[in-house]
Formats: sequence, structure tokens, C-alpha cells
Amino acid sequence: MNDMNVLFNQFQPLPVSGVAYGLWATLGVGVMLLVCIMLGFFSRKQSKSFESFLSGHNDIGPVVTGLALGATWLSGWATLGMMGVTYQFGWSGMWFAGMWTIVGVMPCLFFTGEKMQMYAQKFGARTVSDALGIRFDSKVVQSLSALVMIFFMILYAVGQFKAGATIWYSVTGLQPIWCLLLSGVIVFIYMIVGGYTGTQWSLALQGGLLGIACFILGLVALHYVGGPSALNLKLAAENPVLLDLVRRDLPTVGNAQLFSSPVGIVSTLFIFLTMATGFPHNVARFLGMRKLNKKDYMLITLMVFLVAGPPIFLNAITGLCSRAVFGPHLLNINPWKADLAAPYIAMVAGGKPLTTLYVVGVFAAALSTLSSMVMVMAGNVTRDIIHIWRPQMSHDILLKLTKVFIGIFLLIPFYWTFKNPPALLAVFMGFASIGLGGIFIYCTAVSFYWKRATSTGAILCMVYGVVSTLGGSLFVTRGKIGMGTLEFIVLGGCGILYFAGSMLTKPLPEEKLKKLFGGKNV
Amino acid sequence: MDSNWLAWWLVVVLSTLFTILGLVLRIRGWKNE
Repeated sequence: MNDMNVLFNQFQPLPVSGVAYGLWATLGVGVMLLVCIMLGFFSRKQSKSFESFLSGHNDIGPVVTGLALGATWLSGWATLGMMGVTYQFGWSGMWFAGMWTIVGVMPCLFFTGEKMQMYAQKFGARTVSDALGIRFDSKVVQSLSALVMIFFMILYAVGQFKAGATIWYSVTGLQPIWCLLLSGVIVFIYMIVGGYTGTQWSLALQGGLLGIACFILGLVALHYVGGPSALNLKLAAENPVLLDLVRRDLPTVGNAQLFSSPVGIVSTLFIFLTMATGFPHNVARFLGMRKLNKKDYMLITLMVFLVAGPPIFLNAITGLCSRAVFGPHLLNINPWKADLAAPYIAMVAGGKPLTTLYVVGVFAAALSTLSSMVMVMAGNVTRDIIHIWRPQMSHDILLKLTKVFIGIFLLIPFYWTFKNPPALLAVFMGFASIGLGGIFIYCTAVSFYWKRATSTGAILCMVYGVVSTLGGSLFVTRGKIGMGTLEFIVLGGCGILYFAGSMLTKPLPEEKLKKLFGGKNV
Repeated sequence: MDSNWLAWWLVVVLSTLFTILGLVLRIRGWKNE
């Protein structure tokens, strides 16, 4: 008992939330919403037709597209969940806490950016499923991919609501229900102002904000604990295993495998590598982009790097600093637990100014990901399911239906979070990432370059991806297999079925392929 | 330097090189298009 007292006495008391913090945070989020709403109104005039509402006018430049890609790539997982992972598991959590961010997002830019832009401009693609329908000349691929995207994105959207609610709890200390409602109200206010072009501009603003917030928080937190060596000394004083890069003391099954075994740690690289390209809301950013020249390409790469690079590398450190300062206390606070790591360290290390900036950063990240996902999901239903099977339906009705579905796709994850909030944000969202990444790395990225890919291969890949992720996640949560093993089962199986299914069936006619791929033999 | 900080810096530096290399290759490919 004495040892326990010594242990807990070495940590700081938790910060006291209250009216002052709540007001500052509300003011910060309010200003951000106001600017976003102004951008939305400005763009509303420009996006009156069904097509332009979905993907703009192919005129958005590299800086805005790059920042927007950074914003949609980084979500509540990046700005809140990653810190929760290193807080809970120590240095071994680093691998799953975004250290592969650049390895993931850069291939998305390099391999899919120009192709998506080409599909939009040359063939009129308005959604990612639309582009796949054109690539495979198949309505079934278009509609099935839309359904698969919707399924996984609803899971991912749950995480954004939880991130918003967690941040309100940390600054106000209100009951979970009020925090969730506050988070939901902000999302709904934001989403009422629609239009892809407005969303793209708002996304760019949010990308910049979240990058600055995470970067400053990381540096301030590290300074607060006394620098790199002091951080390690404090962690070692609590428990030396927190310094381990591989936590051999943890089980090698369940989600702990991501931190406890080489298989799990290597799998984190593959999860990040495939999910950035697999996320339809990332790839959709290029649909409204104008054709780039060399200088534009350098600019877009720089923007993506600035938002998705240094700020995210520092997130892992922020979580570790929080552990050094608060010890394991946060794990006992239900239902938020380790996800409180970043907001609490912001409060003690940076006071109200830094906390306000950080709260704005989290909302920027959660709103940008959620809004872009909801737009993709609503567009998937109207464009890729209703429109292609009922082409006689008027575009006016389709536009109205899209807006109705925006509401529906906000309500579903909101209700889910309300009924059953996920325990550790990053792990929950990891399952959706494994599914989306494992399927669409082949169906989108590989298919843009491999002429021989066929609709049969794509369909087999999608069906297997959904079934194996769903079934596998049950085995992971019951501790039968590791989460890293599941990544390889999904990614490997999807690949085998995609390539085998394609090789065993007839490719598209040569003339059609020439139109899609040009004269090159890829 | 502690091994965990070394690993962190290694990933940061390699990611930066990965970006630069990818960009250079992408830009070089431009000439042939």
C-alpha cells in the first residue's frame, strides 16, 4: 500500500475543468465554425447542380487540395486517439500511433492523385465508386464498392463523435451524454452548410489548424516534462516496460499484438500504408482538383508533408509526456480513459491558450474527416446506387436526396456512439482501416495501373475483405488471434482473390483499355 | 541517445527521405509524359 502511495504521489493531480475552460473552448470552436460557415455560404452559390455539389468544378489548386488531403487523412484518431495509445502502452504504442503517417499518405498522393483527377476530368467521375465503375465498366462494381465504403466509414465516423465528446469532457467535466450532444450539435451545425467546394476550402483551413495545434502541443508537452531524457527517466520510474519498443510482457493475441510482437508491429506499417490510399474520402480530394504542373506537384507534396508529418510524429511523444505527468490515473476515468491523455496535458502544460488551440485542432480534424466521409457516403447512395440503376430520376431530386442522406449518415454513427462508445479510439478505428485499406489498395490504386484487373477480381476482393474483417474482428476481440495477424489475413486474402479472379476472367476490350490507360503498356 | 528516441528519429528522417525521393521520381517521370 505504501508503495502505491509513493507511486501515485509522484504524479501530478488531474487538471480542473470548468466554466472558464469551457468558455474558451466554445469561443475557439465557434470562431472556427463561423469561418467554415462563411466559406460554405460563399461556395453555395457555386454548387447548385447535383454534379458540382458532389465534386466541385475541377478548379481547386495544389495548396488547398494538399491541406484538405491532410485534414481528411488525419481524424480524431490522429489528434486524440494516437496520444491515447502511447499513453496506455508507452513507447511500444508509437508504431500504431501514426509513425507511419507519411509512408501511408504519400503513396496516396503519388499513385492515385493524378489518376483520380484524370477520371474526373476525362470521364466525368464524381465519386470514387463512379471512377471504379468506369475503370471496370461495371455497375455492380460501382454499387458494391459504394456499399462497402459506407459500411466501413460508418464505423470510422463513430470515432469522430467520440473524439469530439472526449474533448468536451476534458474542458467542461460535464456528464458523457452532454458532451456527446455538444459534439453532435457542432457537427450538425457544420454539416447543414453543404457543398463540396466549400467543404474543400473548410478542409484546407482545418488541415492547417490541426497541424499547428498538434505540433505546438507536442513541443510544449515535451518541454513541460523536461525534455527527451527527463521523459524517459519519468516513464522508467513508473514502470521500465513503458520504455520498451516491443512490449514482450503483453499478450500476443487481441489488439495487444500491435504492441507486443514483431508480427503486430510490422502489421502497423501495412495498416498505414494501405489505409491512406484505401480511404475513399482521401482519394475523393483529387476529384475536384485542377490538372497539376511540376511546381504544383511540389507544392501539394509540401502541404501534405507539413500537415501529416511533423505534427503527427510529435503526437506519440505527447501521449508519453501525459503518461509521465499523470501516471496511469486516466485509465480509470470511464468512458474516456486513455483518450484524455492529450487534452489533459494541454491543460497543465499550456493553460487556456494552448487548450483552446488544441480543442479547435481536434474539432478541425474530427469535422473534416466526418464531413468528407458523410459527403462520400451520401454521394455513394445517390450517384452510385440510385442514379446508375434509375437513370431517369431527375438531378434535382438526386441533389435533395443527397442532402437527406447526409443527415441519415450523421445520425447513424451519432446514435452508435451514444449507445456504445468504443473503449480505445485508435483500436476501434483500426478495424475499419484494415477493411478499407485491404480492399481498396487493390480495387483503386492497383486497378489504375494494372490493365489486366477485372470486375470479377474486384468483386471477390471486396466480398472477402468485408467478411474477413468482420469475422476476424470477432476473433481478435475474443483473444483468439492478434490484430496484426488479422491485417495480414485481410490484406493477403484480398490480394490473392483480386489477382486470381482477374487472371481467370476476361479483361476489358483493348479499345476500352486504350481509352482508360492511353497508349502505354502498364 | 536512448534506443526509443533513436528509433523515433530514424522513422522521422526516413519518412522525410521517402517523401523527397517519391517527389523526385514523380517529377522526373513528368518529362516522359
